[in-house]
Amino acid sequence: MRMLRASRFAFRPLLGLVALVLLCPAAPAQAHKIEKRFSVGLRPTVNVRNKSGAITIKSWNRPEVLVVANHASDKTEVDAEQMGNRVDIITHLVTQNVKPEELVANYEITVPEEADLQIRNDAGLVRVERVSGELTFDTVAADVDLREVANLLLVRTITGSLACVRCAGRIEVSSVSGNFRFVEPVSNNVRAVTTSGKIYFDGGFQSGGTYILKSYTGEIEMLFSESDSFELNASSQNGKVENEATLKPLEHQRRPAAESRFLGSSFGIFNQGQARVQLSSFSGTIKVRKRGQR
Amino acid sequence: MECKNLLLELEASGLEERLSTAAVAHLDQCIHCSGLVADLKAIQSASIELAEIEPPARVWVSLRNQMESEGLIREPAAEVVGTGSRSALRPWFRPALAGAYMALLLVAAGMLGVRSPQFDSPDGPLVRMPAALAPAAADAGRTEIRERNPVVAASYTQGLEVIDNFIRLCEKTVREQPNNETAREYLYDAYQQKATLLATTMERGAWGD
Repeated sequence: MRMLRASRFAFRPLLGLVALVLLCPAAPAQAHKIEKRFSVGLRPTVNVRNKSGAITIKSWNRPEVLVVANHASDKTEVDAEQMGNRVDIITHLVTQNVKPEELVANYEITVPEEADLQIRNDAGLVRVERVSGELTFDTVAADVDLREVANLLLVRTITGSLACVRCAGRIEVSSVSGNFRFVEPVSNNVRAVTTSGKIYFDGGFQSGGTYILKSYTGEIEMLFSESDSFELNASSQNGKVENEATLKPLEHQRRPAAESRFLGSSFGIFNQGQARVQLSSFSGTIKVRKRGQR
Repeated sequence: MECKNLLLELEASGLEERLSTAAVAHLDQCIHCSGLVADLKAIQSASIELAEIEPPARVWVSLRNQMESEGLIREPAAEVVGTGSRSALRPWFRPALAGAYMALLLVAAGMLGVRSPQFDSPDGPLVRMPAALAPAAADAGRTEIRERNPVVAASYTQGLEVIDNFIRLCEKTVREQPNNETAREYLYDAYQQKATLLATTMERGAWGD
């Protein structure tokens, strides 16, 4: 009996080893982790092309780009190369016979704060925080989540949505069915166009700024404060406009000629009318809400 | 031959030149491309009969934005790319140009339609999308999105459906209110969106025969 118990204990390490061997294929991601570091100059350009996965980009105060890539399959390959002051990070397919889940590559990238970014990610997520260069995002289904980015922001998606929190600089975004959410933007030039997505804009309006929000069939919701100053031009061809702002009428010659053609419309000046706000839709509802009223 | 290759050949040689045997064979069996070529020829012949039209400034702005977004042109201060042979530009130049080319054609088609006398007729055709691109492209079953990732393929399909629904909505309004300039502009925008989406899909190599 004692011998039997002893032999059981002797087998335990062996069983553990067998279990480890059996479990190894279940964790292939660890085997495809790549880490590369590049020394760069002022305002480098970081170009990322990825099929699917999460791309997270943060900034630091070092003149370096750090790339940590993790891909799920050996049927994809990650290339990260430096050409002068540009770093190209590209996910390649090693073979054409790839399952959807094998396309996934996730990135965590750290860049200098003033870096320019050119990001293309078909599916998944792109998340960027505190980068202040020229930022271009081109996705199909991937959502884009931006926080405290500045300078120039260009986003194009097909179904991917955009969340933009405290984004500064010129903002131009377009999508087919993606939703846009702007919270506390610091911009005097915003242009957002989506065919069927919803647009939510909760921010101040800078004097002389232009804010063009267009959703052809989706809802547009814009929040304002009593202290804001803007000239509003809100119109929906076949939808309605719900406006909580008390507007002064526009001067006759500046009144849109086609005003009467819209089923819903609201034109006029709020306070001094220092910013120009244009909200337009074909069949969607436009809501102009006073902040804190809900 | 694939659809995108035919577009590249059309871009290189134009409608006047004789197409290659492969292109002719492809046209014989591909309803989308044969429709596209027929439409291009119709646009070409119709445009000869028209007086010169100066498009509104926003057309050029839109095209310029499209070309800039595809990297085809840059701001003057930016780096000069490809001062040498055209072949050096080829990998990115051709899809981008194909996209811009298609957008330009659709703009032309839209303008022709807007100016067509039939437009005001309640029973007549509206600003008409070239047949090869309109319902056929929206029909995912027939348009064969060649994309490995089903999420991305679904995204393209959904995008096309959304735009086609919008086009139908605009067309209905224009039909009911033929003098509504705003509705026409929305319809025109919808065509532009479709052209842009198709160009993007082709540029990414996700649209095949």
